[in-house]
Amino acid sequence: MTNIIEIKGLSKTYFTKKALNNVSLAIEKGKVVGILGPNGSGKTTLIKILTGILRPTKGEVYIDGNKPGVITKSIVSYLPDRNFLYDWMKIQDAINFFKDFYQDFDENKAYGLLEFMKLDRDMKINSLSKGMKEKLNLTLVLSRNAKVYILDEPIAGVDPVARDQILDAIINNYNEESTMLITTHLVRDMENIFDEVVFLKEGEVYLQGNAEVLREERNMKIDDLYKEIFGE
Amino acid sequence: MFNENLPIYIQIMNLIKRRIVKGEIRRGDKLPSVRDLSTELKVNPNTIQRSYHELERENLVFTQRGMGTYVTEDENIIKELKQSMASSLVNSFIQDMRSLGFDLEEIVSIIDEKMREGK
Amino acid sequence: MGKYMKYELKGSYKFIFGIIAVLLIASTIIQYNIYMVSNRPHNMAEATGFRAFTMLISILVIFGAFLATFIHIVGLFRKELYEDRGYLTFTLPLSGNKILGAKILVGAIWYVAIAISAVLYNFLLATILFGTSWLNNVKGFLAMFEPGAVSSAFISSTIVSLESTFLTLVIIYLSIALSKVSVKNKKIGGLWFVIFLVLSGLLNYLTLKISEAFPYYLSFNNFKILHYYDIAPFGTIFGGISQVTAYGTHIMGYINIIGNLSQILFIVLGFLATSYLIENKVDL
Repeated sequence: MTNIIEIKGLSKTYFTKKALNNVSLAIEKGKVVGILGPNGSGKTTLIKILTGILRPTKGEVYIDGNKPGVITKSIVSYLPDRNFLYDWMKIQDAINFFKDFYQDFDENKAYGLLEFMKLDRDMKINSLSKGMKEKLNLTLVLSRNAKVYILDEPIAGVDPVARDQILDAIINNYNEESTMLITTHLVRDMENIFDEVVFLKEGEVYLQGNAEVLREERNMKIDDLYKEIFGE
Repeated sequence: MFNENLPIYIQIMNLIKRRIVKGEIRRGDKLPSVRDLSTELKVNPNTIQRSYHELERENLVFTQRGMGTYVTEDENIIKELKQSMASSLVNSFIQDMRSLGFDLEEIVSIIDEKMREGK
Repeated sequence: MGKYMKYELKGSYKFIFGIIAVLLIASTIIQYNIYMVSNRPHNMAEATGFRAFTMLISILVIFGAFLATFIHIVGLFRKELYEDRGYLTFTLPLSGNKILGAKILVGAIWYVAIAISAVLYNFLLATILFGTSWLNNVKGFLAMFEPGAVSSAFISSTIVSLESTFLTLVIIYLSIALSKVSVKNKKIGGLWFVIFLVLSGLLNYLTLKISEAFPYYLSFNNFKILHYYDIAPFGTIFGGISQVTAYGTHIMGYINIIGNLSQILFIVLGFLATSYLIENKVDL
């Protein structure tokens, strides 16, 4: 198996606070990997380094053999934990925008997903609810045929119906040629879609492994394991 | 949906086995595609793939290239499955009862009584 | 880069068109008042009352519109570093050069669009209000000068003002990027303006000193290279990056060769530095 993502001795320090401390990870192609941890555990910091909008203090990161930069940005499809679309846009503008900048963007897939999400392309992004924005953002991100998908908290703060739609969309659009990295603290809703899980605790990798093997070894669900580790 | 502390692939195998034993899926029937089942159960397709693979190793299903996965045509294998599911249920029941301190005669009489009541 | 510019223009055209509309309305009020006063000189009292008030307001509005445009152009870049939209912009497979280049060109396009539409509209309005006679006056005035003199003055001042537009934009964006890299706290966001003032002061001073050290000027009349003393033999005009000399009817535009080259160099270096910062140093 080839590693699509390699992280070696990665640290990130803000002033005096260590957000990530000596994190090393290798992620195989074709896997769905859950990065689990409560707020402040370093999940978003890790992802922002992978997507090239945060610089490591120490250590190295390779995506498909390249350091984060223009090349990796063209193969990584990133869903941030916030609304990143320009506020003047309509949904159609956002689709055109993605089509213009990402060669791997599949316009027809986007229209199909929009329909599935019950979104209309004439809607203004400003007027969408939080759940609708999340669904739109995910539509755009999943409509790319990217090598790596990085989804930061895709179901946080959305209602149960939207959550199910989002989970369906993620599962339906998964394929063996691509790798998905998903951060979440809502482990119960998402644990069944992970091949691998990584527990981040206070900026360090506390535990990682194959989800099924962990269930078997520990004789508990990943959700229960999460609760045990983070003491919820 | 998956609440036991077992690996998901085993829970899915059990789910399919129950459907076969109950006759919801008959011998020779095509199983749902990996993708369909993964959407239905909201489970990673790799996990479904693994369940199908394990079921195939137990000779319960077979894969036809490019066609899909089918339940075995062999009646005996399905009978065996029924048997083994029954015996494992009964075994665990007996084990539980024994751990509560019932002996064999008491267990039988409780079952007998319950069965009569049920009718 | 062209694609990115397209979306930048799309995102800000409504604001800019609004600014242009405000400018045109304000200048209409001003010109109309001048017209009314000049047509009825016997009734000067009117000019001091309500009329003077609307004039004053209009002038303030024009000033405000330019300030708003400045803030908007600053915002084109600043928002990328401090707001959520940066998560989209800086994860696009575009180099820092392309993003920055698009931002600066769009800033310059809007600046020029506003300036040109305001000037053209005022000429047009003047023609409507006062007739075409003012055109003849201007023509008569220009005819007093040597042939080619006016265009050389025009070319040299255009070059210098374009340079200063681009340099200002580059310094603004460099200052914002520097303040983002040095201080990650948005609460000290005004820091960029301090950096901006210091940097522009420094670069202007440098340009002046360089121009003085190498006082050779290119004429846009005959394309000859002249020494400072050839241009201003009476020493009446200070040396600088450009010269429009006028004595008697002799008007001529020159630019200081090394001074202008160093301006261009500052633009390029500032651009590369900013692009490097946003590609390699900025943390969102």
